[in-house]
Amino acid sequence: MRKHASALGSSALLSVLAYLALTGLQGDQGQVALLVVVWTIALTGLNVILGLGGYPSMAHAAFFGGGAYLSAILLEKGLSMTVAAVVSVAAIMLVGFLVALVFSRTRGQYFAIGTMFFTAVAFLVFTNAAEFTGGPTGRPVDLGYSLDATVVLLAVSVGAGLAVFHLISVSRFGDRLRAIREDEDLAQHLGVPTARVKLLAVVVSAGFAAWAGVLFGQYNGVIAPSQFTFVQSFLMFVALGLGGAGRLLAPVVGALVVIGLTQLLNLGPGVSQIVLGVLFIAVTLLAPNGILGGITALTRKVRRKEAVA
Amino acid sequence: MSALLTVDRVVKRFGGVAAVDGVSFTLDAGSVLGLIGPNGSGKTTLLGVLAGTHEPTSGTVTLDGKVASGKGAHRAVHAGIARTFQTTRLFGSWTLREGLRLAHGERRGRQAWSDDRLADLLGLDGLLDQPCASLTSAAQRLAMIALALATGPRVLLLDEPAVGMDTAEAAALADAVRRAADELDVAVVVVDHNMQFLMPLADTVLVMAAGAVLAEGTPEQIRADEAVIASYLGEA
Repeated sequence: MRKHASALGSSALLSVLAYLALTGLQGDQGQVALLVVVWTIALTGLNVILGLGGYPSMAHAAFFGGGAYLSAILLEKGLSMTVAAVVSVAAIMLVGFLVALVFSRTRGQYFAIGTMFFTAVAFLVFTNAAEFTGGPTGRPVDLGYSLDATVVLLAVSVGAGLAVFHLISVSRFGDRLRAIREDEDLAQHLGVPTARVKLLAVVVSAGFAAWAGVLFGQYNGVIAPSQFTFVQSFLMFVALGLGGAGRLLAPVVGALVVIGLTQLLNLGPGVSQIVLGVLFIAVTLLAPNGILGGITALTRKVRRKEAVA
Repeated sequence: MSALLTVDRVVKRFGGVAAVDGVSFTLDAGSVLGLIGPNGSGKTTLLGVLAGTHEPTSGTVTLDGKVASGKGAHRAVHAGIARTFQTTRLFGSWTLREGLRLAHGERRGRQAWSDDRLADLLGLDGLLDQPCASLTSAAQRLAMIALALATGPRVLLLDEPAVGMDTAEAAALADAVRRAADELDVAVVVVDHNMQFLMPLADTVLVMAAGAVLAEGTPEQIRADEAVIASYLGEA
């Protein structure tokens, strides 16, 4: 019970913080706040398949971009924003289902490579289907919701998404995913329908990414293929690893660190990626369970020392 | 009364090689079958076909009159066939209790013993809340059996369960397997090279050679069988 309370409490608190950041920060800082919030929502989905299930999906940026483009196109065709959003998310979840069907027989790095190619193909579509996507330079997105409504939706989605993740994590579905991460063959031989569980996890994660994409398009007003490359997928993977994959707040920490480093420190495009790479290696070596995992281990150590003293 | 498990002319080929080449036998509830034979004779592959790890090239495995083979491992478990592995497989960072909870969740309504009773059966008392990776190798092998039993199996397949155990540990394991068979009415198939462990435990023994059944009988009959002695057991 206490575990639920603290998880749901921190989810709600983060919604409030997201709202304050989105309404309080202006200019470049406001843009950073938007990206951190959007990434948190998207990474919460990635945390299901990668964090709980241990499957390094590199399709996430494609689902993210798919949600953004599809909702923009449907909105332009005259659908209401809500219908456009629902249809886009559902369609991208269906795409996720197909992607998972194709790659569910692969594991580890092969799954990563396969899903990375999917993102590369999606990028080609975003770039070349210019009639719908505006081509390499991107396209504007009509305002479907008022900006105020979008801000509220973004903030609510952060907390709601984290709450949904928590419920998944403590459910049987979460147990089954963690079992797959630990030893997929053993899981299967204890009755876990691994193929179906993985499929569902990819579909859920695609839904989160697509919804994040819809909101990103609405707030940003313009979308371009360069925002949805497989490098973005990889950065999302890095962000979740840095935060502590599988942990509730890993998306928040990961988004803050990666977006913060790439956008806020303004080190220049090449340098920031080098810094990120070094940081990723350092965290992997020093705290294999990410920043949050490291903090947990450290507090446990301190407490044990206090208990001894 | 018809048998619980019927294995009918099962063949499993890998490429051109028939690892299992037309094996048939039946198994009653509560009985223990010892499966022996030289390395490469197809014991583990046969176990894999029974457990749904491998799809048979031809032939069927039926449990209670229903075909159980060729549908994948998780369906075999749901039907009531569980296995352990030759090399220890556990969810290393989990406690045994966490693993048992997962396994209980896949039980499909059949009965199984509680965690405490399983721990008691296998001599794992007090180890339920330890991470599996921190257990001794003998305890890990027992933990693997506990996980399989928690799925509420009607048929339990043990692949070299006594490997790496000393005489006392193996004897305790044999007791536990016998009790599981008697009290839970589970049919057990045990593959092992340790005859001191296996022969007193088994009701019947099936000897495999080159993928086929070489002999089947009580432990006494098998011990006396000249073909078996020549191909596997050796002169005493």
